[in-house]
Amino acid sequence: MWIERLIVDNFHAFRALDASFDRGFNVVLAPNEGGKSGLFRAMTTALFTDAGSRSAEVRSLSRWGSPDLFRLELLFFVGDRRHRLVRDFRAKSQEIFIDGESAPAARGKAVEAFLAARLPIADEDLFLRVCGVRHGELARAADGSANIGERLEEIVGGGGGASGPARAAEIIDRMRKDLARGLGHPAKEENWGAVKRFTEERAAASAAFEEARAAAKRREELSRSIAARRTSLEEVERDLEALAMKRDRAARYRDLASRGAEARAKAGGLRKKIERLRELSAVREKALAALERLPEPLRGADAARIAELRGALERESALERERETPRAAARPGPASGLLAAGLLLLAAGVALGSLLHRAFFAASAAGIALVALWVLRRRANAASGAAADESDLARLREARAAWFPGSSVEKARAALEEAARLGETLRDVAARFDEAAGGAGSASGGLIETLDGEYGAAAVEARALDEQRESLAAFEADADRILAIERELEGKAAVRRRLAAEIEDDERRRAAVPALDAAALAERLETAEANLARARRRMRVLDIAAAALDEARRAVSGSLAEGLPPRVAPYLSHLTGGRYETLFFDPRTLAVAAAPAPADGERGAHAASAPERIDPGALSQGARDQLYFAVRLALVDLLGGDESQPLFLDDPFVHFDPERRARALELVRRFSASHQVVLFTCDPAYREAGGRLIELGV
Amino acid sequence: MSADELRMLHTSDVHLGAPFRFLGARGDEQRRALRGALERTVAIARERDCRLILVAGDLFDSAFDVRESDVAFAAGCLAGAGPLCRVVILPGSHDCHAPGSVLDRERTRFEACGSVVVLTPGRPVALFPDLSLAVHGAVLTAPSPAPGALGALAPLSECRYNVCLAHGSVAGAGPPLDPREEPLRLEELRGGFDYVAFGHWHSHRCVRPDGPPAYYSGSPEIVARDQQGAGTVVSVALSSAGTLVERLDVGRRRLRRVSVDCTGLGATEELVRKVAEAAAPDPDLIVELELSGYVGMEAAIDAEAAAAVLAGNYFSVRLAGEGPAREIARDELLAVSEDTVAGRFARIMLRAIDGAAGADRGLREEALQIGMQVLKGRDPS
Repeated sequence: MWIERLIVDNFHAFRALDASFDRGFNVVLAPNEGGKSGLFRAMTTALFTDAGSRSAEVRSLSRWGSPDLFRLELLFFVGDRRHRLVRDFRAKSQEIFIDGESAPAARGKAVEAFLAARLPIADEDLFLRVCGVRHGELARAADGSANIGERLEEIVGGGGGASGPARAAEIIDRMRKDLARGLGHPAKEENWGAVKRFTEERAAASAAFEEARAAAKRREELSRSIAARRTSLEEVERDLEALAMKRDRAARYRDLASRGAEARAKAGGLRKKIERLRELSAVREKALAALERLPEPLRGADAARIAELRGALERESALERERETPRAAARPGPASGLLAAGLLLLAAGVALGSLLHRAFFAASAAGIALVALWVLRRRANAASGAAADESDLARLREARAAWFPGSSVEKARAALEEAARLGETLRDVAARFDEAAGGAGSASGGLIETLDGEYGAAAVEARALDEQRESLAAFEADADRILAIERELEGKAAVRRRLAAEIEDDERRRAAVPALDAAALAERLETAEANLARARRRMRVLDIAAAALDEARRAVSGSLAEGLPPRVAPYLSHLTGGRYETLFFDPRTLAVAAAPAPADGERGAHAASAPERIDPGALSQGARDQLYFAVRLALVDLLGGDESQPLFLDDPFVHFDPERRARALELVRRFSASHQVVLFTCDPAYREAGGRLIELGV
Repeated sequence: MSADELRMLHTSDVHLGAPFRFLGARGDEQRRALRGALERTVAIARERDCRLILVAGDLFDSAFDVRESDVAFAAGCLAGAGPLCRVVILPGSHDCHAPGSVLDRERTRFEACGSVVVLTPGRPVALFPDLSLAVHGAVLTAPSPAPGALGALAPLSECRYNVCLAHGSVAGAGPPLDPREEPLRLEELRGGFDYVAFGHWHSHRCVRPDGPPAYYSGSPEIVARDQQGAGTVVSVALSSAGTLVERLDVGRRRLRRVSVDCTGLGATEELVRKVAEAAAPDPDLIVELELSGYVGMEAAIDAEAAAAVLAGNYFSVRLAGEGPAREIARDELLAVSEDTVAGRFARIMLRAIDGAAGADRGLREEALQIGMQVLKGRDPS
């Protein structure tokens, strides 16, 4: 590509300009502030700036002091085809024509795409950096203030940044380090990056929140446990109540049974006593009735009187018999017979025989004799008292008549015996009554009624107790069963005590669980997580950007490392008069080195062995700017590809000594054989440099 | 006011003690706001001479993990309704009745004042003979109501008024909050009820206006970030003439979704200005900021930074959605020569963006933007 002509209207320092250029070497000569940079800017604006743009930058390009915008017309070749590009910023129109055709090949927005598809370097920034060489660059390379490798990367950095990809990578790396500070290596807390800070904050918040959750869970477990135990406790208390009731009712049943039996026994006893008393009462009534039939004086006689009366009757009877005894005594009495029988027996014994028989008969005879003697004595006594007895008999008869009126001795005796018997019966009844009444006295006429009342009460009580007992029949339990219930009660009571203790223990433990504000901690955790997520996201973004940037840098520097050295060699050799020829470029470190050209005879050996690499720092200033200039030329070759590129030089050799300048100028002229070269200078000496001279005499 | 009129206030879903993750450090203030809403509810009940306050579930945010201060507050606040204003509390999905749960454990504490009744599975009906009123509750023993919960409630014919309390999503009234939950079926409800007080949905809603009226009261204060209709209670007046229902606003905080198109904005300050224009500063306003449009590669817009600045204007500012997309000027990027680092970088990133989706795509877009900015010599940090 090369520029043939530029027509400028109202641009920068120019009211109007029409400049033509050769395909080869061109010198634009103008004094300082004479429009050299304006001309260059007009070319690049024509090539790359949309005429529809109204940016501040575009507005600043109008002719100084002019309110109007400008118009640019650029004629250029790509390959062998001539293009006429017209950009009228005033009219916001742009068109491009090819090979003098009247119809534009593209217009409006399509112009940019048209150019992008055809220009070898369609990127304005890259075009400016690659195709424009300023003397300052060479000066900085010469004095070592600019690293050639890094400068190379800046040129191909793209993006329009003044600092280049290395600086971009540094910025991203710094941003990443700022975020990650303290993550991989210890750092003071106040220096922690966002990721570390929020990671720590998140960890602390998470730990606190987990602690709160664990505490909440613990409280919930304990609350559930307490509730379950309370339920169990209530059941146990109900069981206890039921068992206690069962036990109490069983005991009550037994008590009622016992009391019922007692009441029944009491009633039975009373009933028997009453019956006995009634029997005794009947006997007494009967005895009293019989007593009524006896002589009236006899009714009140007591036992002593009866005994006295009985004695009197016996005496009377005895006296009566004694009165009759003398008649009986005149007759031979039994005593004489007995005495005779005894003597007879004695004699018989002596006569009959043996000693044994004799003894027997002797004893019998003695006995009979004694009896006979007793009888004889009695008869004698009776005869002596007969007179006194008659008076007694009379008295006794008189007394009998008083006690037993109209009764014979026999009848009196019978009446007396009846009275005695009745008296005995009444005494016996009285004694039995007294015994039955328990000492209450047999004389109490209301005893039976009292006892009858007591019996009734006892019977009623027994019945009532039986009824009560019957109502508790379901709770009838023997002692073993009651004991079992008591044991069950004790067991349940123990369970109740245990549950109560466990509830108390659980409540104490629940109260001891720290009351953490889980809600506030959740919010703190949420905030920490959000902050951390943002920081990590930012980190991730930077990681992605850093990785992609690194990949891009390696790709570009790899291309440079591959394409530059062979292109640099001839230029470097020319500029240094054959002293240096080889360029080394490390795509990883961007380090540049030069190697001296081998002697003619050593080229083969040179090829076989590693050449000596000389760091630019070890080169002279002159060699350094020569090296840099050679690299810049080679870069135009490399990036232009098969298509030539114009090279714009802004007084590049100001600092070159005359010899190096001549050599460089020669190289530029040779370079212009393949690339259009436009050298801007204010040095009139370049009038003689050859090529087309364009003088701006503004 | 007719002689037989019975006024009551229906609330639900107070969620005392709830965490407000979306509010971050201001969550505690919102928890205090919940208490304030309950206090205002009780105050309104007193002012309006209400005889009953219905709490249709979720008085607390949790069944077990409830702070003592919240229990003490709730018990004191509801007791403060006075002896003439009864309060009936229904265990809800969050504070369902379970052995050891807050409404089981603290029931006697609530009821100590004599005017508060906590419904339980064993006592699902609160009877107020002096008001000739029976309040029937479908008590939750798990986070979801039992099947046929409404059908199990039987109004008492001896009471003049029968009120139903239930907590859950009513089938047909809208999508359930949780598809796994058992819906409440209003058609199962027997005749004889005068009002059905629902809880669970945090936005006020009329399920049906009559036969009998059935309403969600809504939360008295915003509990979550998606509750435009929260901050209400329902005033109900029962009488022989019918049932009158009125929605009352008690919430302090309001939620507003603010949508801002970021297309054309070049800096965070511009975004802040645009949001401030869209929503006037309000210390009680919770702003859900939805950013849309396309942010140019050159734009220095940090939505998080804007939200942080705007947080001073409102109670809270939260970014919603994916945020504005990055305007990837593909042609412009591809115009950068592939021979340059920037050109290579752009192509690598464009390939990466093309191969990514969702969040990964956003990461790569942001990486592309940052990379291009630093390659242009800018320092985004």
